[in-house]
Amino acid sequence: MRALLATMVRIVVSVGGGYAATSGIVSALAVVLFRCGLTRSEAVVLASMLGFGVYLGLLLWGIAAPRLWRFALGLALLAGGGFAVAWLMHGGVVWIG
Amino acid sequence: MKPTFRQSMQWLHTWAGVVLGAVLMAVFWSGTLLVFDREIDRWMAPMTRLPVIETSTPLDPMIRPFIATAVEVGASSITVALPYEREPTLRVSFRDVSGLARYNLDPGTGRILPDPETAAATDFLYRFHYSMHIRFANVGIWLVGLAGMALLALCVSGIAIHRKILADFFTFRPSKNQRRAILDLHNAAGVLGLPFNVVITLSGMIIFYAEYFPSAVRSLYPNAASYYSEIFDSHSRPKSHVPADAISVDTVRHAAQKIWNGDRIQYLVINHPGDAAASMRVVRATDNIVLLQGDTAFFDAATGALLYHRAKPEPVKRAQGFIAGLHFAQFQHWTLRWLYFVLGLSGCVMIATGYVYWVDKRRKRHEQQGLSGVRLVEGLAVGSTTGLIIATLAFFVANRLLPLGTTFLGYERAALEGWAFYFAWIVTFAHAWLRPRRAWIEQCWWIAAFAVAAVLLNGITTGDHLVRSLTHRHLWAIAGMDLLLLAGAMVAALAAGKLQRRAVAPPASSARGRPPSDGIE
Amino acid sequence: MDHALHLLALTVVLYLGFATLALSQVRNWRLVIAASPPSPVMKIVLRAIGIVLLMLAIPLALWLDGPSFGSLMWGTAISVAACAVTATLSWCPHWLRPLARAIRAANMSQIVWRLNE
Repeated sequence: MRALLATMVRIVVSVGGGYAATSGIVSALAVVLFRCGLTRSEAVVLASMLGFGVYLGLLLWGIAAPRLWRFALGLALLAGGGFAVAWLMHGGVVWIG
Repeated sequence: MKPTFRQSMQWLHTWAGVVLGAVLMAVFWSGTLLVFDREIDRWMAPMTRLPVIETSTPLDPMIRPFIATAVEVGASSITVALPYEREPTLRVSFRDVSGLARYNLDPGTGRILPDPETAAATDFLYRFHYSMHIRFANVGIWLVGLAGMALLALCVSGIAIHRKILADFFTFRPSKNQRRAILDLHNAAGVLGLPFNVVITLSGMIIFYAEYFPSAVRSLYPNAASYYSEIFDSHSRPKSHVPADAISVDTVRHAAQKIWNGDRIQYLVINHPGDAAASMRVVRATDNIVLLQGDTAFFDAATGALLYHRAKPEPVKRAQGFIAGLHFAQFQHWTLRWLYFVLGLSGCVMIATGYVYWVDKRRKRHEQQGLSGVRLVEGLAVGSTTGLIIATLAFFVANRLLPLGTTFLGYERAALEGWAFYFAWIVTFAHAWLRPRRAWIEQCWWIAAFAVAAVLLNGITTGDHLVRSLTHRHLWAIAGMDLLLLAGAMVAALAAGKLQRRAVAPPASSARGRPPSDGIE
Repeated sequence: MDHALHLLALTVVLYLGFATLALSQVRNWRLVIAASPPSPVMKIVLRAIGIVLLMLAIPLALWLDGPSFGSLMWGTAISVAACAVTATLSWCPHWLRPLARAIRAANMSQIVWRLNE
């Protein structure tokens, strides 16, 4: 039973948390690409397309990670860091969805 | 969670497959059918089975009455989709007081065709494919997106856990015991079809990049609307409020084809009909390019003067357009279209054999331990494979059986066809859970029966039986559908026969006295 | 019809490439012909040839159907060709005997040449 609960938690963290982290990374990436010279819409499209790869990587990491808390911490840092970078570099409102 | 990387990948592969396999099957099957979406539309809307007209046929006389009507109801735009090989009708639509008014016209005579009253493939199957018809809070799109990510994870984990992937690359041993043969088939479909499976899944999700990653849009734009208005840059000319009646679709077509080297027009939108400042947004067909959205230009609706030619998309957007286009496959390249169909079917085989293998492997253990897990998953497997095919065939049969104008309990004919699909699907799940031993065999027979029935009903209700459809070029789509239905019926009947024989007389065990792994019964 | 012929040409090249790769594996070789399998050196040569053929199919596809359609044709045709080789090995492996014999001949002539040095 405890194992089942642990598995459920891992799935939620990987799928949900992984998405949140990907959102943060994609936001940061979009703003960075814009600052690097791409037009706004180009930056949005490129960052979004790369997001799918990022999310896949995070999902696989989450399933394979031996210690879930380390993965969750990593996710939180990526999510937080990503949104922070986006907000600081652009100064606009940033929102997951 | 699991001690080694390989074990965790094995766990991921098994559980992602078991839990999301049904959704994956639904998306992959509908996607495979949608390769021939417009052909299925012809089959389901017999009044639209027309020969293609000469491109020089004047369309103004046919469109003029609609412009007058649209002006009367105060519509701000009229969309005109021009006929071509895959869509031989002239389609006109505009918003009137009660919603969207849509008309199919015979471009040879200008006659308004009777309403097909069907959602067919380009509406029903299409919405099923990308959202499973779940519209509430976009949950359907997210579910399909999750399934898409799951498929990518399944492909990666599948490769990771395949021990001798290069050594077994060309391995398929149908004569070995059944379970090994199923696994070989699953591996073959998965590994050999890997480029297609990965690209088609990723491209499908990339179509919806803005829905799946709104954070990217919001990080650089205040809202989605401002983003969309920037990327779909439109030329808008305000109404002059001077009534005029000089709109000419043919003039504009002619002007458009001059700048586009005679290429076909896909559709045009007349803005501010009946006004002196009316303009037309004209979209070039994408017959010879993969990109999803064709070149777009704006013309004066009366004189055909070019007002604005939308710039070629920038590199990243062009890449996204190419990726989306390779998924939608609306180009004019029949060889590639058939390749997609075949590879789509192989993807379905991959998913189905994955289910079958899982169930077969655990069946004995679960029976001994009194667990019901296998029964639940097997029901899911049957329902989402043979059951889904039966549901699709029920959709086609209902389309041929329901007379035009039928309503029931306030539902119109198009909705009733959809109900037939879902009702049949639910019945197949129930059947699978109630009669696990015979479910596969019986459903295979049902597939054969329904498929033959569909072909016969088409012949009876429309007169376009195979002899007629094969000998008239514009009916080849119908012939193709009928032939594929018959081929499917044959495969299903052969499968049912084979499974039935195995159930009656289990094969002798292979070496070392291992108990025979029976056919699925 | 044009495109179908293009596909045929592509598939032939890709089929040969995959068949060569398949025959570089002992298990597949034994399905096809009773003679002794290629030497380790020959295996590497066969794999190189196989991969080169698969890669050569790319410019062929691009030349036949243009960059956008050509790349899609190649990406889909490789699955078909690999499947075709798998099916050949499962049901009619003797079809690959001529290719196996040609490989043996090349192998032997190589050995003879080296021995003469």
